[in-house]
Amino acid sequence: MTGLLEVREKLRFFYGKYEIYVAAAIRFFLGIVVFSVINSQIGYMEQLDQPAVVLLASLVCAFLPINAMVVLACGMVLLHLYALALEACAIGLCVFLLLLFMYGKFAPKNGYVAILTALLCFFRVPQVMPVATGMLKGPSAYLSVLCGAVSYYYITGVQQNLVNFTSTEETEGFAKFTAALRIFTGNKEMYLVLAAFFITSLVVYAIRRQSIDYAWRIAMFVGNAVELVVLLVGYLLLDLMDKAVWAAVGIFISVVVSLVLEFFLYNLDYSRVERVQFEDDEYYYFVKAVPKVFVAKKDKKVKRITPKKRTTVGRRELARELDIDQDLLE
Amino acid sequence: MLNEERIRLMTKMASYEAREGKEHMPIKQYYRKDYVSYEMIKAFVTSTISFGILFLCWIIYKMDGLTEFLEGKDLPGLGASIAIKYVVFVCIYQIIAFFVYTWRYKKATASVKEYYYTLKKVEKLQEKEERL
Repeated sequence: MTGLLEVREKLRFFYGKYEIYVAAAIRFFLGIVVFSVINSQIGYMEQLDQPAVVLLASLVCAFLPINAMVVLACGMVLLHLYALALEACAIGLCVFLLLLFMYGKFAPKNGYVAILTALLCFFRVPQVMPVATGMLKGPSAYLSVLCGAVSYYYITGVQQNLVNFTSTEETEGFAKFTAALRIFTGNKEMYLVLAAFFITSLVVYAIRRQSIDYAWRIAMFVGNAVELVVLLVGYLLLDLMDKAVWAAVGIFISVVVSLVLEFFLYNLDYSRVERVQFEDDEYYYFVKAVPKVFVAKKDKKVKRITPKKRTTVGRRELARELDIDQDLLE
Repeated sequence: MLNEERIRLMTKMASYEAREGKEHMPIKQYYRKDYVSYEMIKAFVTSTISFGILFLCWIIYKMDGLTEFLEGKDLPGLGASIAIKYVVFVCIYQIIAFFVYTWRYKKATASVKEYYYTLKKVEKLQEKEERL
């Protein structure tokens, strides 16, 4: 444990010292993953489906705030959809505008949450996000989770209904628009996942704000359990049992990630709780102070192994220094 | 001679000004009521646009069978039901906006208060130094 705490302190120190470079590197690598996933999933526009474009976009994102990545990713998705069908692009634009209004107004600083939710959805393990947002952010951060999840379901919906968008019959009328909108109206799984995420993030947030011992750990386990139950029951009712397996895997990963987050951000020593009571002119205060677990920096002691160099002074030098006769020192 | 305590407090203040202060200080230029009302007006505009987009999507979704859908329907009644949905949508949006922006104002108030408390401390330290 002490070793882990030392590693944590070292990481914190490293991040504190090189914050600008570390954050830029994280954004750069995240950008590479995000844009590569977009290209691999819906790479309909050949001009964009190039490694050079991915690298360039990631490089731009590395030097800009995370919201720039959100905007660039949305733009990239819309361009790919435009190459597929104008209708898919138009509905995608409407969806992104709706999400942008919600995101911009209520959860503008949660770009990482929105991006990571969509990304983890593609890796089939987004269950960690509602627990993490409940632990680290306020309730409004759920809206970013929603934005990420809805974007993912729209993109996969387009992929699954590709035949509806690629058909070139003239008599279709508004069929492509209808197909694009049906991705949302007929997608019960999406509503299930959004509801499960909403309940989970609220439960986690509500519990971790309580003044109880081990609040974060209780919040984390209860939140994950609630999420698992809601998802399993939902998938059972929707007859999507193959997804239930992935949900269980996602919850397992979520528990691990939550424990790591707790260790790094909320490691408290409940054995040394102090309760103090005092007053001022207006209030009485009942304060519970829980100390953080940390290891003090090791003092570096320099032990000299090689003995000090002995300086020998000859009789002649000493006599010269003292300005006396050499024979007197005999 | 350099006063370490004062430098520490000033660094803390500069860090606040560069980070949270950028967001919180403009909020504190308004009274709570003004700030929340202003944000709610903005929320009203975005909620109206959002409802417009949703309404447009609904029309497109129903477009193929729109004539059959409208046939025999009481058009003023349909209009009224759409208006009610609009009002409910905007109200929900406004309620969320009210709570979110009230909470943000509260948070900004607390952090700016802390900032001014530190500022006072710095001023006192400076006065003390000048007297010496």
